Amino acid sequence: MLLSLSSGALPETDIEGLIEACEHRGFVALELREGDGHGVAPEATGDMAGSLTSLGILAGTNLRVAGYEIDGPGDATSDVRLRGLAAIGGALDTMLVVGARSSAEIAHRISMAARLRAMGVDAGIVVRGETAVEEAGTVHTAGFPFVWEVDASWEPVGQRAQALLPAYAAAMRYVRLLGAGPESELHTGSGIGQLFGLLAQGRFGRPVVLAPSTPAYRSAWERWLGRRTWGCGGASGAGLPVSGSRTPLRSTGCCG
Amino acid sequence: MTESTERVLDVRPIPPREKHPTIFTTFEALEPGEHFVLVNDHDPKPLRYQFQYEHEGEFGWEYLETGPVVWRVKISRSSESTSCCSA
Repeated sequence: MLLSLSSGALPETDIEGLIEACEHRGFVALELREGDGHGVAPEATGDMAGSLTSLGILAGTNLRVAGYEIDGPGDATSDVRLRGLAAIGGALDTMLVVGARSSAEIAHRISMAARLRAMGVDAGIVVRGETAVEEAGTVHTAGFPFVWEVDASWEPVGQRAQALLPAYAAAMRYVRLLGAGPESELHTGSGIGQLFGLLAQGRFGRPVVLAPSTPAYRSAWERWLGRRTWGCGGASGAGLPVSGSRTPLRSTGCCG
Repeated sequence: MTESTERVLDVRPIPPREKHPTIFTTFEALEPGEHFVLVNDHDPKPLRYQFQYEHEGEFGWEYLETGPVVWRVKISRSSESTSCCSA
């Protein structure tokens, strides 16, 4: 497996900051979400001119791009938007992911993915929640790969993994795991260990992307990823935790 | 499963109390001669001691990467069992 980071963990951070965060934690791939601060965005012209700086910086690293999640449908059926999205898929050489943010209806997500594929784009679909296994089956039947989004803050991750992986792992491009990282200590018993054990035993060689379960944990993620120092505002960052398992979610309170 | 020829168990996102059980479950699922690569954010020395205590003579331990950010250890199941009950 390839431990990876979602730009959703640092939604206001530019591409250089995301790369530094990956280096800080030893992540090997990035998932980019449309609308975050990384600077890669679809353009009406389809020429990617406004994204070239970020693309150039990214190309100079060893990081892989797990996928690019497109935002809500917007005017997803327009040729202009499709052209812009297709250019991103080509420039990043990665899959465009129709997110569950885009539509709650799996049929609509499949329809959007089909339109992207018709533009020559590698397109996949997010499945998640209590209906993830059922949705994975529907997406697989429709001939598309999928991203499994699973949230350790409330889901029985291990049980879901046992139900989904044996049948559909081959079509799963990556896992987006919400609620791990600096939150992991809060969600013990969720079955994250069981998920990772099953992935290891199945020789899963694709990304597992970490992301926050809610924006409420943003500051904890910033600290965990080395974007913010602890405690009294010291600049050295020497007090940064090196393990998510030891990362408190509140201020260390040394200034009290 | 997909795109990999070896088992990789990255324990960095796993909650502390689930880490060692997951590692030993993965080890126990190995056939003799097989291995997996453990990925961690620190040197897993205490784990090695636990292996020595619980699986003496049954495992191999080889560092593939030793920090400073990531540690990778190839943990293998010995081909020859040292079981006390063999004939």
